[in-house]
Amino acid sequence: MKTATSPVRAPAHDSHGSERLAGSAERGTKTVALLGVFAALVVGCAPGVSAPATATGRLLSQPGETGKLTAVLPSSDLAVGANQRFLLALIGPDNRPVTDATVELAFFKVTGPSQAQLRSQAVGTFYGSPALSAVGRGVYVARTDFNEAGDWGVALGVTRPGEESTELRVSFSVKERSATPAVGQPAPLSRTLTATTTADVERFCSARPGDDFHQLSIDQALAQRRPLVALFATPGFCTSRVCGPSLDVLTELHQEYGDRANFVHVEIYKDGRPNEKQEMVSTVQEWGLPSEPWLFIVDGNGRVAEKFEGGATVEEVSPMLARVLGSG
Amino acid sequence: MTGGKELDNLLRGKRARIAIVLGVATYVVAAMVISLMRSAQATQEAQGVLVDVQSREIVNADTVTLRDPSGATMSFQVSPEVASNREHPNTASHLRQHMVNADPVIIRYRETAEGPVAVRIIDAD
Repeated sequence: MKTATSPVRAPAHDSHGSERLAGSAERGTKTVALLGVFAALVVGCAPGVSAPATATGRLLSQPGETGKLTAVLPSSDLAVGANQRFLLALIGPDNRPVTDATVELAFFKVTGPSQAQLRSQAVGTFYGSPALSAVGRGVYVARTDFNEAGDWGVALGVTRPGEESTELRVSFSVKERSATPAVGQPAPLSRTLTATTTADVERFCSARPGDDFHQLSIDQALAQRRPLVALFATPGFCTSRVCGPSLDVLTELHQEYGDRANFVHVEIYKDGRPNEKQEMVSTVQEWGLPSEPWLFIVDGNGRVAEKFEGGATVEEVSPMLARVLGSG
Repeated sequence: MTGGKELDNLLRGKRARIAIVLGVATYVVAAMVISLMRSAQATQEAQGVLVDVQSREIVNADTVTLRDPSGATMSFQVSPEVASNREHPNTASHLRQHMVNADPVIIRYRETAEGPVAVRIIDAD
């Protein structure tokens, strides 16, 4: 996970202020500029371009350095592959989340101490957290191809309404293989805990009341050769932020697609929350989860069709689930 | 007479040994108390938003970086007790969500030779 901060400043090439850069010509101009800046400032710093992320246990910057926009990359399992889900959050100079920006991304592969190649471009889509939309929370999601493992960088063009564009640069790593099952790979046939009554469910599920998604084990669900939506989360531990809302997302998806797919919720910890022993259910290891929550869509052939790290919204997941159901 | 002297010497030796043991025990207890007092006193607090969370696994964070309201950023190593705290366990995944949502946190930390070590992280709002 990397972070980058950059003084708010207007790029010389951008005289449009807050105007959204949607045209290809404009985007091309911006990319050239970003490439130059990137090569000069980002390359060679990889994998730790981000100023705050490199040192440990020290005061990294002095008070008074406000006026900075910060980009954080919460993805923990980026790997080589097509159409990878790239997450981005922005924190404003006032330490509040930035949810109203237009974000353009240019992805660079670091190829040497002072060299980088532009590999792809994308526009971020903001998805507001369902439970936190009133207070303005969420992430920007971009889809891109990573065709090579190693050190990468992303140059961000961030434009907020009524403000000049800001450039941010962040480095990150792309693994050869993801820890979690890749899209197209068979989903692990995990045997997960099941129960039918609320009282029995609440023995291992942290949600209160216990949810209805423990009637089938993952292996049982996959044996039915129906598409599966599997949520790995601890909603009772994190009720108000991400995991709780993730269960709400699963419930909402179930209401729409429950007659055509199986839905399973898997807890992370054996007793529903972290403890001194930090015992996790074996499924976490079987699916290689480096973080939580995760939501997977598995097609009727038992292969992973999509996967979502962190908070995913109905708005983002539903079209992809509909596609899997349509083709499955 | 000889028997009386031997008994006297024996008692003196025992007293001396007891005195030594008591002295050592007092020293150890005093050292522990002072050490505990020092470590308790050394706990400091910082508040702000997380702008970086480094972890190699799902539960324990390795380091976090905090930006306070003045704009200063500080990096902390993270003690395992942050994730195993009974009242408010903060796993790496949970901290990452704090970061994404810019939800403010309070970090209680101790200064060590290796730098500040966060021993507890709690929600600030």
